Amino acid sequence: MELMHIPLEQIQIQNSHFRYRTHLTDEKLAQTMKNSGICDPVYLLIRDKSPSIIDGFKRIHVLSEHFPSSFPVPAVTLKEKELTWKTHLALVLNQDTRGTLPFIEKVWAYQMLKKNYAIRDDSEILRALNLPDRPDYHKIYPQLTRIPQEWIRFFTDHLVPGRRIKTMVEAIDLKSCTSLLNVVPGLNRLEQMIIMLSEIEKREKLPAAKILQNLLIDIQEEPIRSETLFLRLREIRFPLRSKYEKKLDDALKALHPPPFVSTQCDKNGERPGAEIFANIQSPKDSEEFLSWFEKKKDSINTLLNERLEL
Amino acid sequence: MTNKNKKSLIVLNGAQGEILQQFKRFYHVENLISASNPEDLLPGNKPEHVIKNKILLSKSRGQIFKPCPGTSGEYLCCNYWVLNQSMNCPFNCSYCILQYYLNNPYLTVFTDTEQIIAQIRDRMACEPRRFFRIGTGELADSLALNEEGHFAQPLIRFAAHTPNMILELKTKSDRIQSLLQENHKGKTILAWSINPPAVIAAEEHGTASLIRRLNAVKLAVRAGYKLAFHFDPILDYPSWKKDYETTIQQLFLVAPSSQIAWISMGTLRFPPDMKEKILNRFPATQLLNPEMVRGMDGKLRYFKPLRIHLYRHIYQLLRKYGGPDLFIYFCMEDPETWRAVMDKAPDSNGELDYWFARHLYHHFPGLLTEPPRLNDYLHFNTPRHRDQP
Repeated sequence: MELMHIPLEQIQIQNSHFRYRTHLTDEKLAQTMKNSGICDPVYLLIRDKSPSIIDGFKRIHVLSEHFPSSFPVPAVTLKEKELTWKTHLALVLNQDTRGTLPFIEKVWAYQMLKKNYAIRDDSEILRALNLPDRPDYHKIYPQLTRIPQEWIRFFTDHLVPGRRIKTMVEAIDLKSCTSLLNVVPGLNRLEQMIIMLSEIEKREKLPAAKILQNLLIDIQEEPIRSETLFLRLREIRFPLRSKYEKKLDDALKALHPPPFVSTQCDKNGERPGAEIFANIQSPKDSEEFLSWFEKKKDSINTLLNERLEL
Repeated sequence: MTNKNKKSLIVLNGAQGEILQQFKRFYHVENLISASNPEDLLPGNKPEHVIKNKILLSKSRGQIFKPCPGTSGEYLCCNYWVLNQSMNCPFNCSYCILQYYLNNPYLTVFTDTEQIIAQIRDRMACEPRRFFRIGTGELADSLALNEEGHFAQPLIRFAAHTPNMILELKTKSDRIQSLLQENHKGKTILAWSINPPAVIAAEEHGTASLIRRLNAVKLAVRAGYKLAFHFDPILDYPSWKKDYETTIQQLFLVAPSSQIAWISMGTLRFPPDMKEKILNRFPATQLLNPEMVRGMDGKLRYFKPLRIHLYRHIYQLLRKYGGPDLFIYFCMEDPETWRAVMDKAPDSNGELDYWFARHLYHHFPGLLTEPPRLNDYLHFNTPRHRDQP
């Protein structure tokens, strides 16, 4: 191992088989480097006298975009025999000293190490990277290097935890629902939408891409709000529940309640009837509520206690 | 179903007697183990699924005769008594909880019949005025391994001479040949779990077809056994209406209502974390297509209006083809569902228990020695501990 300065133009940056960072463009890093230069050395493998990058892909990418090709890059060089999987793992872990490496990049690192080195027992790598060593996860690890770029970007940028990624990847072919990302839902909603889509796909025997496409065309809204899309998907996945909730709403509307009155039913529909809420702010509201209640007492009681037939 | 060459026996310390000898006639003993606890066999390394090719014979440990764990929430339980004489099942029903939650992964049969019967006798002595419905089909298929082990026979003989009980052997098999000559004295019910052929083919892997189950019913009728049928789990799928009607029609061609002790209905339900396990194990299953919600006991079940819709149809079919005298009940449903489907609901688990006794008293004269009294059933003396996985 040797620390030296190597001109940027001499460094091979095409050796993608060592790359585990999912995307290289990083404006914040670029700005820092423009202000302060490069502090941490990159790691280079010297093979046939030619240095190629093994760690520091992002920094080299930023340098090549913003710095002259003659820029002297501080680098630690390693000879081939010095580069073992343990050394390489240590380099990866060095990038994760503050635990900020996203799950998806850890998986990429794990896959990269497996591909480049003959490793008999990979459990040490998984432990070091804090990745689950379970059959269900082993099934998805290879898949995570093949999912569409948009999803990789999303999982990286939002530091999506492994268990959520696993749920999504297991549920559906993410390629078929990339358009969901344009609607920018929160992570919870996104996961729920994917599960619903996969269940509709299975039930209707229609590809998820087609279901989603029809839905997006159907929604008359520009731009489409994630809540609208979520509710429409829910209607398709749970038609009876949606119908039941709508029926309750309609039943309340038919009683012409004051504007500060609303209903809420047991979302799971196990208990009959609904609860009625009155947001009373003034004595006038109180009077209005009591007069409404007196007039509609019987119908309100029915709504409170009985199950509406579907 | 049971291929002689494919199963072997693991015999634990203390396993002995007639049941062990019976099994030995069919299977070779692979292992004689000095441990007496099945859980000790695989410390810290439990397989994900039941090991279907090994039968573990052991003496029982702790209380294996207990009230059905039922469920929490507002669902009514019938105060059935379960006898866990055997555990786990060689079949592979996609919806079955036994596939997914295991303390002991082996097909297990307890061989110490005398101690098991003593447990029943001791418990029944505490409530002599109560009629006990006892079944061995809670944690196992009662008869799937019985042709080899003959472990149900001692229980049938015990029931035959014990006044305030009836024994129910519940199965999805047609394996009843060895029971046909038993002198059961009308104190044993042979019960089948019933579903349309499409459901059996798609979800009840390895079980007997409907035709084979119904042929077994015919034999049971001839042998004078009382009968019970369990439409559980009822499944919602595109052709369910037509399929259940054909199935119920076929059932009543072979099963006379006069011989039927009870019929239960229950729709699909399972703990939420089982959903992922089902999908992993049976990716092609259509089981999870309908709308399911988290019920008051935390389990996933069909949305209630859908359950009521399914029940009403099946209830009407049972009445249409089976007549007005059938005793039909729900397994784990709430009073609202009872009323919506049957126009009546028991006030409590105890009352439902009493309804059973009252029905049996009238339907099978002589089965109960005296008319049951509601008060004897309202106070359920044994604390119910739920074996939640």
